Amino acid sequence: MLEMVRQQMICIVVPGWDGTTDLSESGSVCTGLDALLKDVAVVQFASIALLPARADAKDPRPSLMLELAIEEGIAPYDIVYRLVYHPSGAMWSLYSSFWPGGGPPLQSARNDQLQGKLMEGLTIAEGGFIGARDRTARQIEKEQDLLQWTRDQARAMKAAKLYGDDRAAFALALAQRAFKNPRFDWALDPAPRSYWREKGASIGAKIGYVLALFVLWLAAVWLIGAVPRGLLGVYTWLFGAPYSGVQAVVDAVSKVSGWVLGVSIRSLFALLGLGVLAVFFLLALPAVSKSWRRWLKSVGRELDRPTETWSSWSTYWVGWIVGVPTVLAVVACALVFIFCPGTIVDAYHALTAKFLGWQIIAFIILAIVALICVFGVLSRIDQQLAAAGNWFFHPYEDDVPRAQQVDTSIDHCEGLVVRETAHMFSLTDIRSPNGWSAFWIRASLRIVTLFGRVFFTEGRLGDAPGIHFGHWHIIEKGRRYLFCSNYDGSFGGYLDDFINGATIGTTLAWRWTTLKRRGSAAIGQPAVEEPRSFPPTRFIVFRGVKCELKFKSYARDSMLPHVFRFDARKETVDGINLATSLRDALFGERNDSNDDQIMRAIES
Amino acid sequence: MKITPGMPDALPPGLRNLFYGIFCWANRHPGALRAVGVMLRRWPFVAGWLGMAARASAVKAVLTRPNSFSNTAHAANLSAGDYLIGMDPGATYTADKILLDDRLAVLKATLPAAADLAVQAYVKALQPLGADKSFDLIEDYLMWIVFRAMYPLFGPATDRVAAGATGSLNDPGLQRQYLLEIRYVAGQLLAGSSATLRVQRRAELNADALKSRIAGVRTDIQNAWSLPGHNIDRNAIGLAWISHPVTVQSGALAVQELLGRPNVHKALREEARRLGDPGVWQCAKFRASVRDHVLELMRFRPIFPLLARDVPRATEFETGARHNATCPAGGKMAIWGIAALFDPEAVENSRQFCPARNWGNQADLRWMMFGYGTRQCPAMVYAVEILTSALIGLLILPELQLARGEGKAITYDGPLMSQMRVSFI
Amino acid sequence: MKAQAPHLAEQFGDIQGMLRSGYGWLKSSRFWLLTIRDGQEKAARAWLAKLVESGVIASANDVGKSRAHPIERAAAIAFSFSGLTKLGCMETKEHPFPSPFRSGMGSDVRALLLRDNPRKWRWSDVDGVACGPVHVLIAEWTPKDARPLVSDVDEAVFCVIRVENDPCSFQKIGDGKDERLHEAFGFRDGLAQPVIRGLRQDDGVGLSQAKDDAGTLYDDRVVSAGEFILGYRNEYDELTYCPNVEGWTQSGRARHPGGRFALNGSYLAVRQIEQDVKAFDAFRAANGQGICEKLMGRQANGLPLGWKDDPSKPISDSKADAFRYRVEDANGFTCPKGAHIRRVNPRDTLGVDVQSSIKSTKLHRLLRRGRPYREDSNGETRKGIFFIACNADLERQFEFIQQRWVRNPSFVNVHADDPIVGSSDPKTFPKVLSVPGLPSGEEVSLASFTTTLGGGYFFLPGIAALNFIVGNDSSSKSAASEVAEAAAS
Repeated sequence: MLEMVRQQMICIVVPGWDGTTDLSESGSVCTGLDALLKDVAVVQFASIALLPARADAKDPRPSLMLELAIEEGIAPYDIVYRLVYHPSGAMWSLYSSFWPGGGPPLQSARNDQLQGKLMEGLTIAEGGFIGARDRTARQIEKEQDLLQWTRDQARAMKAAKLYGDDRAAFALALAQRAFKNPRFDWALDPAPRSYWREKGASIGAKIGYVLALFVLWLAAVWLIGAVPRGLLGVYTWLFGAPYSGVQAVVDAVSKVSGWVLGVSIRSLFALLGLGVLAVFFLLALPAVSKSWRRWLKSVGRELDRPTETWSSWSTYWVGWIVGVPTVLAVVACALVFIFCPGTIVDAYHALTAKFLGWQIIAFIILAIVALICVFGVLSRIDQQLAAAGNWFFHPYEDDVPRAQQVDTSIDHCEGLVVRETAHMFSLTDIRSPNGWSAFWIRASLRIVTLFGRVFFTEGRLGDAPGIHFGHWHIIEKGRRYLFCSNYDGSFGGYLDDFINGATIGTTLAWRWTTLKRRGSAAIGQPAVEEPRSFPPTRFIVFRGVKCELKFKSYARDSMLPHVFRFDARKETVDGINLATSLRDALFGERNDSNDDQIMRAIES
Repeated sequence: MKITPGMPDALPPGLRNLFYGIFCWANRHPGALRAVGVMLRRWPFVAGWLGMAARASAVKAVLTRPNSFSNTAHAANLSAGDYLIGMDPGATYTADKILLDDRLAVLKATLPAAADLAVQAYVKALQPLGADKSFDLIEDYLMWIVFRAMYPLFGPATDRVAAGATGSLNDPGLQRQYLLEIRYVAGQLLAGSSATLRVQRRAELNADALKSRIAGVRTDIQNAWSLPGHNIDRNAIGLAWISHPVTVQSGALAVQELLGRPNVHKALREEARRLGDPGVWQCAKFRASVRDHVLELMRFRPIFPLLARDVPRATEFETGARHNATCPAGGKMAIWGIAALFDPEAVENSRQFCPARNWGNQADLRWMMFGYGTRQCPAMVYAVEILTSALIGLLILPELQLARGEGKAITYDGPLMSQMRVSFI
Repeated sequence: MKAQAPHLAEQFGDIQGMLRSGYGWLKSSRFWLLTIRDGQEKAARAWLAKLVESGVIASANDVGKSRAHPIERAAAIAFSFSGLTKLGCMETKEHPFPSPFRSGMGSDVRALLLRDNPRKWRWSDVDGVACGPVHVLIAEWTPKDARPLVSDVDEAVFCVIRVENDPCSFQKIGDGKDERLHEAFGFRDGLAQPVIRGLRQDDGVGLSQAKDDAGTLYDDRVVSAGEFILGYRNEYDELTYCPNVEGWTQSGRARHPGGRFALNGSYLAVRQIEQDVKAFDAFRAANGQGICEKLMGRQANGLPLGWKDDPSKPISDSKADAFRYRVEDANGFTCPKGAHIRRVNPRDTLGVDVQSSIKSTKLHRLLRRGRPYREDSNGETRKGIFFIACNADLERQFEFIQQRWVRNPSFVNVHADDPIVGSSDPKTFPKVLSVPGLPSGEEVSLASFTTTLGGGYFFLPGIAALNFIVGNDSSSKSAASEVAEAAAS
């Protein structure tokens, strides 16, 4: 499921670019590529950038990077094949400089070699998110056509003043016109969406899916144990006891199956228990108790606080002293419950043997009272400090050198596409030890991808809107890290959305990276003159991107300009969603909500 | 504008893989399908519940009622666009049918001589291959033989079609690319919407490529066919993707079946050895016997063991049970061609391999793997003719076996065979 | 730990007064755009030093001294990047100025980023038709009919563009006593200002009164000081980046120990926008005042469109500005989503809920200090607004608002440019506004109502930094000796 998303976003990095091919916008290579991508019709977005070599690389030449965002379900090999073997030969003209002698004379042999080279440099995204571009470019195009047609019709109808005061009559008239127009026959089918965005969109379907998988798992484990046992039983009944080795094997299999069943079921209970605890402390208690709510909020705020203050510093250390041991203890309890439930039973027996029931109850009550007292005192101190502690909350200066700097080439790239979908590349280095960092990055990105695929299906990642594609790649054998994204809006606004809307995911995606010194890939392209590091995090997920200045400077310094860019559609995420909802409203049943949807689509 | 916009995956993750896995497995193991077929024939009411026709009489009856059971079930699978096999009778259907019959008639004059010639060339090339070297029966043999034998379909435009509008005519790599392209498109007809998204999208990509290829060489085809007309594209595209890959795949299936029947194989080889090299090509009796073998092998491994039909208006069909099976409008029904081919009511000793069987009044059933009634493949005779030549060629080569020691000899691409490595004994 | 950041309350003396107040009681204003002629740098510095020395540059302290007797004149000086360079201030390698300021509003790339193509500007901070790039911006505020504060600009030293006051810009509302600022189309201006946390502004109304009037919505307008003044906590709870210049740290002039050059400063985004009053009046005659108010998003007297009480009863500005859109008017039936004021300050329109929308909108607020102007030439009177927006992060504030909200045709899916300041370039979008909620989405065609004549980014330094730029050193050197020195050279 995740691979389906991941392979929609591809980067092909071919090292050793010598820069002899003309990549100017009006040059034959770029126009050829543009025509090719238009013809192939399944590429949503493509761009080319030059990746500067690492400072310690043997080959100082840059790599040529081709980024592709394609439609769902297409395997990377298939799309590369389609592009490379396209009769136009546009891909060959882009890459021909990698064959200084001109390559093999036969076109098919050239294509084979090129395909091989590209597949070698190809990586699918380690993680990615797709906003409203889950629809195909052709669907978007058709729906935009419908939207434009509807707006034009509406304008004409308004001018003719045919449907005066009645919004419903106006909407009905529009729907009738659309229905009669043979151009829009395709719209009679409801807009196609993928499973999690359509049938599986409800929370019930999601829980049901997980439960079904779990039950299937239990059934499979049970069958593995039960079937040999049953067969052996039947055999024994019919022919007497078999050979002792068989009996031993069946016993072992059945025992393992029983153990796995027990662990699986207890794991489920442990997860539920942890869930209940989380809901109790993070949702229920804050809803009931104002001081708990304030305390929780202030802890979160202090952990996230981007500037150094006494308050954030002390919260961090109290977190280490109290929070981490508590969490570890709870996890340890859960593990004991899962793997050695006997220990807990024994402990309980030992306890009841020593104390009477009323004593245990009294002890629990005492413990709760003590806890409440401790929190009461802490919260009192917190309030007192909030009132008085100017110095406690006052920030200390933290030098962020060379902030708010944008390379001219990047500014220029952003200026050129201000009326279209914005686009960015960020190239950073993976922190050493590379393998360790890459492992955690992968794990985090898989989670981000899963959430993006299953939960954030309305074109928003967390609260961050306007993302068309966002994808992360680990390239150069785990040495460097590439992020490519297209989005609506400006770079700064996009990062603001990430900082405020998808904080944890963004921090996780970048916290294992750093920015090392590197030269520029070509004249006029940015270099990294001074290294920079990702803003420090606390307890893995706090702070990090919340340090706006540091994070934006980090991201800005890591950016590279594109030298070629192809976008199948220029509509915004909202525009795409609007057109789809208009299609469903125009051709759906006539009711108030659909009428309103139509009227909204034609209003400005 | 492309015709089929790609659809996102609308099934829960995992489910489609599961279905497709089962589907492919069943296609690769026709024995299992036959076993299910036995049950469906024995208890036809079960087949009726499930909307399946399994008995020969039921299958024939369904396939001869084209208005009740529509061909449009295939339309969704035609990634390259509208074509005869996904159409219902009408003006377009009739016009296209005439056009295609005209095109196919060209083969009447050239076959089997052209096929024989092609086979002889490949036999000569493969002859020196030792026992330790394997070759791919599909890519190194059948694919090219069928390509050459079907050369007249596009006449002088064939090379252009294969090379593309701008490609070099002498580039065998480009021809191979073309043959792969049409294979993926044809694969979609078999797998249909049950296929995983990747397979569907690959078919779509190749269908796109095929469409622009044909559009690029439209004038060449027009001149070759000496036809004016706007229907060139649709029919040329259809003709390209259905004729060649289906024949190649049928041939591979037949050889696979033959290799699984050493006695039959031995007997045929014995006969071929007796006749000697030029003899095998000249002896009409031998050729007829090989043709019977090809058909019988295909009965055991038909390329389309199951067919689907749409039900445009509510109707019912006779399953052979006491009550007729009802077919609600808007649904689909499945036709178990493979069950019909083994129906003991229609075919005597149906489970026996018997090429020389007397089919009596069921002769039409013999070609069931090519469809039935008005929906029967118009090129089936030519396809069998080409495969007969190909099989004769294999019989005069040293004895074949599936290659060993190189991993799996047969690689599948979904339900289709993509590679069949064989070597001489 | 490192050194503590400055406390805002202790720095009022170093912050220029215009950050604290819009000088609503000083009803006349003038703006001077000065280009230092080549080779005249020293003379220019001397002249500026004299101006600074004369005490007209108000600090935030001066502004807040007494509410009963507010200051009677005020001026502010700001410099473009080319101006700072011209005057010898070189940014340090470690703490350079932000890229937007360095490239200047007049640069080609900013024209793209700010979506104002094509430009036909008379002046900018990068180049200019008559004088070349504007280096210095001087703003002055005086009582009505008072003499200009700046009068002796030497044309040999500076090339001058003077933007004159529009004497009709202050008008009474209804029967009210007070005169309030109106822009040329007749709408109240200067409402909906952000309130800087920790720097109470002086607009003649008591703080508690303002809070009471706005009720729970008062917090919507309270924005961290770092959003407008460099060196303080911003809405991200982070200290705003302060650039530095060569020689500043060594000079020891910093008010706050270790404070960098830009501390207590701010960036000004300035635009001279001409308003086509005739075209707007014609539009008003054709479509009525109601539609005009829909375009603007406010009633002409400053009340919100959705005002439910008696409109003739005078209310405070604080009350008139206390409203949100999301709950009452999510679909723009009252105030269209594409209306001018909803585009420049969408309040809680965007985002997933009210709280997050308000929070994110606070990242993009501007402190507006512009004034209407009038230009009489060739017997023709042209009116407009000399727009000044103070902000601490040009990219996140001014440029974001201009690019993503005001001039973005896709803003909340409205598919149209801003009705007031948008261009009527038919290549982009037909300039129309359809009024949601009306029967079949009534639609009006709009003319082009405004033209931008020029613009630039300026840096408004703190007072110590200002003295550093102009070479003043009140402790060691007197202004007179500096002037003498300049004259001698």
